[in-house]
Amino acid sequence: MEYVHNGGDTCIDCRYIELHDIYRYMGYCEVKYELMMVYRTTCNHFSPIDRGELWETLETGGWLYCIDCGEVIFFTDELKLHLDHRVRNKLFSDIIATEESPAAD
Amino acid sequence: MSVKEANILLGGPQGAGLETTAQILTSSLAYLGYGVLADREYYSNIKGRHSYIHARISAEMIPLSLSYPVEIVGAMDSETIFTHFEDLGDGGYLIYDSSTDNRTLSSIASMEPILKNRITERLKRLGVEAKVSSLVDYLASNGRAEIVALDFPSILDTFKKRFEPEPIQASRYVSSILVGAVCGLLDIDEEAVKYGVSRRFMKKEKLIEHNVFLVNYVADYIRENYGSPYKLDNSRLSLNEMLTVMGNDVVAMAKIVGGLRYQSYYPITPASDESFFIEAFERLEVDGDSIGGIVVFQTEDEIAAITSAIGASLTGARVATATSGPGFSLMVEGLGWAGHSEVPLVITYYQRGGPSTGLPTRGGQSDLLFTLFASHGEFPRIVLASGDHIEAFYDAIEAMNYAERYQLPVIHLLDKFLANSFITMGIPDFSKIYIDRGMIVEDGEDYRRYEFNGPISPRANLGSKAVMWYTGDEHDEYGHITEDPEYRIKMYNKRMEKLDLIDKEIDPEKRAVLYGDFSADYLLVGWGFVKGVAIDSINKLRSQGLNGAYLHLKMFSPFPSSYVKSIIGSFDSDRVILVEHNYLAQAGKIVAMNTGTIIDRMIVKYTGRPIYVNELIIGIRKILEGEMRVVLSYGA
Ligand SMILES: [Zn+2]
Repeated sequence: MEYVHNGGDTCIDCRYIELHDIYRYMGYCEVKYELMMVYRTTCNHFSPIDRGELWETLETGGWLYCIDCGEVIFFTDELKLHLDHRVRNKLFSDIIATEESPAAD
Repeated sequence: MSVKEANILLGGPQGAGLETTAQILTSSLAYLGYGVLADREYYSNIKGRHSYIHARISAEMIPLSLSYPVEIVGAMDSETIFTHFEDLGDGGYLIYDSSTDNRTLSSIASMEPILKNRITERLKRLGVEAKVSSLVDYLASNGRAEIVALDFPSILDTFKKRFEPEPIQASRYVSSILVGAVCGLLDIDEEAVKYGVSRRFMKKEKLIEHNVFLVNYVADYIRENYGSPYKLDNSRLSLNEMLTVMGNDVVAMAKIVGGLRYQSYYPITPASDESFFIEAFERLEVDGDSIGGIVVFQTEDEIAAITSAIGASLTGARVATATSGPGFSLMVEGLGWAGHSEVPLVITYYQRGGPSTGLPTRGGQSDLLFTLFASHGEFPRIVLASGDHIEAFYDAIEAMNYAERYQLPVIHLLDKFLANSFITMGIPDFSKIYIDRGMIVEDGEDYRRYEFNGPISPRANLGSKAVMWYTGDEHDEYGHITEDPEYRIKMYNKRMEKLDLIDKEIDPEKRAVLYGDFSADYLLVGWGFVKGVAIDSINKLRSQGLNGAYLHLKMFSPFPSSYVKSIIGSFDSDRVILVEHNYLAQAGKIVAMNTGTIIDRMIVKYTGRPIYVNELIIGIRKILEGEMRVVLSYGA
């Protein structure tokens, strides 16, 4: 756990949050349409991610992402290595990378 | 208390606000009249890998080079702290996100394992746990650094209570925290911040309001709690107007000013940005009146890029193509065709770390021999290298003049260091600029494209009344194919004698420039972006009682042989040192080939990172103490 966790339910564990792909203390709330500081905030829409769902999500979506390891998960064997980690199937990207990334080839 | 200059390093994940940080800071500093040189180091991956900006800010001059250690390390993420903590000088300031305190080195997925191991070993030796808080404590407790701990999420939360941040702009807000912290430490005022932010976000009022607030909010906090330890002296640079530009931009501007009408390219790092810049000016207008246009053509590959530029040139357009090593490899056949057919053509060549894909986003100077000898057969070419942004501006125009005056390919050599570094510079002196299109005929009467009247026959454009033939084969005066041995000799000589003509016409002191004098204790010999660091290192060593000079080689073909020979010959051979970004010290080979003088002492670097003053000084001392070859390696 690299960021301060205040204990209790915070947005980081909420199913409605799309975590920022780089700065993982930020997330986009699909309910409130707002940028949240996910380790610090919560609200009455909070609904925890059910870890059991991840297997099915992997099957249907084709990928998951382990926030703690910074790794993409494609196979169930890989998922087994991240069971205690924060694994998500959605992230959000802002527009900055498209402006700042050089075409590098 | 105030300072004359400050060195800073800002690091963060690629594509997540670092570039914005650098642009805002550079513009704000330019607004206040400071000189800035900022190098951008980044991985070739699109997003997420560690990148950093290393900058020198001066109240007295436009900086020519960079050096370590720095006074400020600003970290957008924990990877920056681990990677750069030893780049920070004693008593310097580390700005970091304290919400990452518990982050361990091993959990940083974006860091290369090799580097991770190296840092792990280093921390072990220092007795520091590989965790952000431990490393920060170590730096603070040894009095090595002042720690500016900012809880980024908390700051953003405070910001959120007042504004509605736009999720799509999320990384911008992170970069503004860092900008704010640096502005606080340097004491950059609100007006300059507003200018820098407004310039970056051009008319996006909400974004400007948000980021100006955030920058000033953080800067005020820093001023209150840390003072402004690096408050800069008022600028003593007397420039009324300043440009904040990258090397790519400078060359693009020069080409536009110099009358370019056709530019072809295939996207490649670090050349593409130049073409993108020119594209924005495809329709040229002055005070609302159209004054023509520039065709910027993205071709399917570099073979098409060079051949289409050749075609455009034959119709009379002033042409160029821009590329880097791998692209030039594909252009070689076209280069030979242009040389043989005497086609005016500029190839702007940004060197990067090769061979093959090599280090695509890092710098190097390992293509000098390649540009000089590429292609089969013999033909005259000009190879011209620029040492800094200002030189690059004038050289880019001169390259087009040379190409058309002498009807041959001109390779304008630059490198990634120059291409991707920001600089503040004054407006170029337009009185120094001229446009020379060489001899052109309109009349088609008995036109002979390759008339035997000297090395340069007047050219006529395709589409004019003149008739001509281009085949790529050996030809007679009209361009018709011939294999006649006497014609072969005459036509071959006619082409090759251009080199003698150029050698006569272009002042050798323009092709090689001596900084310092013959009484110096030692002579550095270099080219390209080595210029700034060489001159600055010499100045630094002069203050330590060692008097040096720098010979800056600019034109490698035709080479100013006797001039260079006379300069090098006036120094003891053990006091002449090549400084280059390649393994072989390639310019030394060209000096030997052209002058018979072998320089056997060298300082080289091929990590893809720039040469820094701190390491070059050590290198020079080592050579003067008897070492023959020093390989430099500083920089993450
Ligand atoms: Zn994991």
